[in-house]
Amino acid sequence: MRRRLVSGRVAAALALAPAALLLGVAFYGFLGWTAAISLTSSRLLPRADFVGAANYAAVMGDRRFVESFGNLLVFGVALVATAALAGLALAVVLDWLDRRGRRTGLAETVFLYPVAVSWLVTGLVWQWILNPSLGLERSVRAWGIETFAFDHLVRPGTALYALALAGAWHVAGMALAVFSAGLRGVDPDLWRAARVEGVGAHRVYLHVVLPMLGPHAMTVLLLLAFGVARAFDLVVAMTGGGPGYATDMPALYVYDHMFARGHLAVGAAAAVVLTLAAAAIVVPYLSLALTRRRPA
Amino acid sequence: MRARRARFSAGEALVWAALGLAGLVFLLPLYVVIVTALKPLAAIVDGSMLAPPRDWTIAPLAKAWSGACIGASCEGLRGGFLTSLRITLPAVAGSVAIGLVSGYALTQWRLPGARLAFALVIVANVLPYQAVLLPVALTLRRLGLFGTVEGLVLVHIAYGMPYTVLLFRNFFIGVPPEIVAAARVDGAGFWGILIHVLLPLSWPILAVAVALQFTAIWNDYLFSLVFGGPNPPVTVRLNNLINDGVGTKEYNVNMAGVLLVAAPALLVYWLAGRWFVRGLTLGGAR
Amino acid sequence: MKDLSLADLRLAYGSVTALDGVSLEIAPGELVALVGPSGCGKSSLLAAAAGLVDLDGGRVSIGGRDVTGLEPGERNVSVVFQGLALYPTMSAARNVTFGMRMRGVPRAEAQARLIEAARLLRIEDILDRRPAQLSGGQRQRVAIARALVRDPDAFLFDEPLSSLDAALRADLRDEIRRVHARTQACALYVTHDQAEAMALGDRLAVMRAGRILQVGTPREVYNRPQTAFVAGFVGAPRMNLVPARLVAEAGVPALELGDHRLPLPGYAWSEPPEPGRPVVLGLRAEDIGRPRLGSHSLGAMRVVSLEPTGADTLARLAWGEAAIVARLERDPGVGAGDLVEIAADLSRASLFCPRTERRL
Repeated sequence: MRRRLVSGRVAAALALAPAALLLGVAFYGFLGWTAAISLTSSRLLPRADFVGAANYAAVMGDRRFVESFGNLLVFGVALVATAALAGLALAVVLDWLDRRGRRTGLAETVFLYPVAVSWLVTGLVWQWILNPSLGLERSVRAWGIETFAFDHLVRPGTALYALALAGAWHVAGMALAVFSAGLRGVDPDLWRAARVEGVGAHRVYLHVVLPMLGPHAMTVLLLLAFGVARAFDLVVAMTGGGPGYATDMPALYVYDHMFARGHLAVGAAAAVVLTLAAAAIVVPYLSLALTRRRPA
Repeated sequence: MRARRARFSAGEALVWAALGLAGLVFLLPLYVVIVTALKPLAAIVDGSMLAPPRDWTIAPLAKAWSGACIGASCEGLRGGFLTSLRITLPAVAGSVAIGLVSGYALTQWRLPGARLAFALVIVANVLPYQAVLLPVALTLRRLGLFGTVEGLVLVHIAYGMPYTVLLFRNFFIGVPPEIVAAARVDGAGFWGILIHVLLPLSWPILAVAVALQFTAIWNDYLFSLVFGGPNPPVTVRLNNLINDGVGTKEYNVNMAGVLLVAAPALLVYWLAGRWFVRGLTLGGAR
Repeated sequence: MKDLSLADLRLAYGSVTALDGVSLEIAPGELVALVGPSGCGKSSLLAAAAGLVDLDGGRVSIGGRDVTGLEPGERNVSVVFQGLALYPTMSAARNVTFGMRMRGVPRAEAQARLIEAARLLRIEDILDRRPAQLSGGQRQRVAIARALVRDPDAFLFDEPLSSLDAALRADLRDEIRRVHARTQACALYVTHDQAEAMALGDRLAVMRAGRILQVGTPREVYNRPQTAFVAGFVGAPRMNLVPARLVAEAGVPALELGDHRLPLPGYAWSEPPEPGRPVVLGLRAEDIGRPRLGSHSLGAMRVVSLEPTGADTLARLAWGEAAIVARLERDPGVGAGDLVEIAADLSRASLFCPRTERRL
């Protein structure tokens, strides 16, 4: 027979009640609610009927939605790759300088401040920098480099990459911070051993240190991926989904159907699809995170 | 602990040059915003974006603060600041308090189901908010909180909470369980241990949590847009100022607005310094 | 003056059994040293006594009072942990008095007890320092003082010295003995270091895989280990364990070991000897050496290696197929590779069943 929970644990269980309530209602409950709405014919106001998977069929058959998913993918891969690689490169450089006894404290401040700025502000600032008539393009041309082009935001074929560039500026510091923590965690004896054996620093990084950063790379990829899945503000601020639908995103699609077009059920169906896509990313990671270290 | 200082080499000079260039790229937006915000409009239309202002002026800042027209009202961003503060401060306090208590309870008390709860928290951290917007809106309407400061406080506490739980959970899991065991033997209960033993050693993580939550909630746009009502937080007003404006675009006022809105979060980042970075790395579900 | 009684304690973490029906009685004023390899359940037993885990079954009582369902703070026990358990943000003095504050002991009395404990443990000068500013030994003194001021009914020590170096360990061992002698509370001392357990315990309890294998005075356990595991675990170097066969020589049980026939003078059988059965012969290193009065020759053996300990020399010897360790004199005058004549005091031999590992 198991003894009663000692009273401290009763208090602990009670203390978890607010978090449990919020988690149960505001996350999982509301998610279920949205899923329920997606099965109705709700337009401006929620209705309690049942239309089966009709809205899903509508969403999946809507070229705008399918293309917005494609946009998200291109934008996401470009952003994550740029930010992760930039963060990794910077982290390695700073770590290398650090090991040579240089002071690099200022660098971290410089590369990390964009993280504190919002997606919205990031978007508004880069929209200005990328302004084809008054922005950076004109400034550089004024220096005599007449062929310089930096109008990518307003051209349908490249606008997604311009968005990704702005996003990467915003989050690269996060990757830098995570990778830096990983590099600092490398056993100093490992570096001493490499020096005794006369192995060059670049080889140590390439063959020894970087392969040890696997878990950190995983963390970075997922932190960034979650940011991307929520990338709504940046797009609203920079392009509003345009030119045309060139930078349309599922998040915009959902918002548009729910709050502008008054088609709640279709918006809800799109939101559920978006959530499933995010879950497809997190589930493998979750199983990894939970099997690696058990809570004490 | 670090290796002794190495000799300066040509390779290192190259690395420094590359690092400096990267630094310039990262600083460029900040520079552009500041110089644009301090120039008269004419200097922007006629001159280079990168040129420092010849005639310094704080008029754009003043106008963005209290005179710029957003829609029909021409009162600048001023009112939004107050709304944002009234939302951010209690929401930060609420979400940090819940995270603190929950992270502690999850790690130090061997509760049945703690692992499952942790998994649910991680998943909650990556839920796209679009998936809950509608139920939140309907619930806020039912409660009579739609478009109110209180409603947004509630929303931010709820949706900021998974991150703070994760943060504190990852911190408290590093506290030796013997310390809590010793306090239990000494007769301290759940709250006594938290207040007397753990809180005094948690202030760095508290600073981290406050800094990250402040920036996250201050910077929020989506919830503010949907639930902001007639007197929305400053981020919504800023976007309306810049993207919905009619008539001549006053780029200098726009960038002044950007500067004003970004300033509080940047200030918190600067004050929190190293802890901010630590928080970013602790926030990963390790 | 209270006793601590643990009766049939059971505890499992999922599929892992930590305590498999453990019973142990500690008399008032007695110190029982609980020793075993890591993972044997000894720390779980201590946690159960302290109330830090929820048992699946069994009863913990202190002075006849059933405390099984009580919080750790309600049991009037003290725990000294391995060394990480000082409150890092409090001064040494606050660490010591924290429990009294939690229990509402009046300030003046708490102060008086602090001063008394600090004097006893010679930590008066470091009371205002934080744990991070203390050496390992000082930290452990503070931890002991914290346990002491409670005036507990039972002291529980959870490997308190294992993070310290050897010299400090010896010092603090004396300290613990002294403090415990003063309080006359019963004490459970968990350690993986059998030498420490031998040195400190009034009695020794040896644990493996969630069970207590043997309880007895250090001398009993050392001289008459009840299982081959206890024989190997208690004592350094480990007891030599050599396979042999039991035979009857002129109606008297003896051992057959290769070409040797060894008598078993005065062996106290736990069960009637069965000639012909295989056994494991256990001999302590100090019962093996050069031939002398009363010892029985084992023949000439090759010295494999020598390990001087200072007071004597441990010699690794090849005995037929087996390798055994003998304790020779300080300057044995032999080298590796030499052949030496070796004899053993067989009146101190132990015999075990090779299958059940139990003493015969």
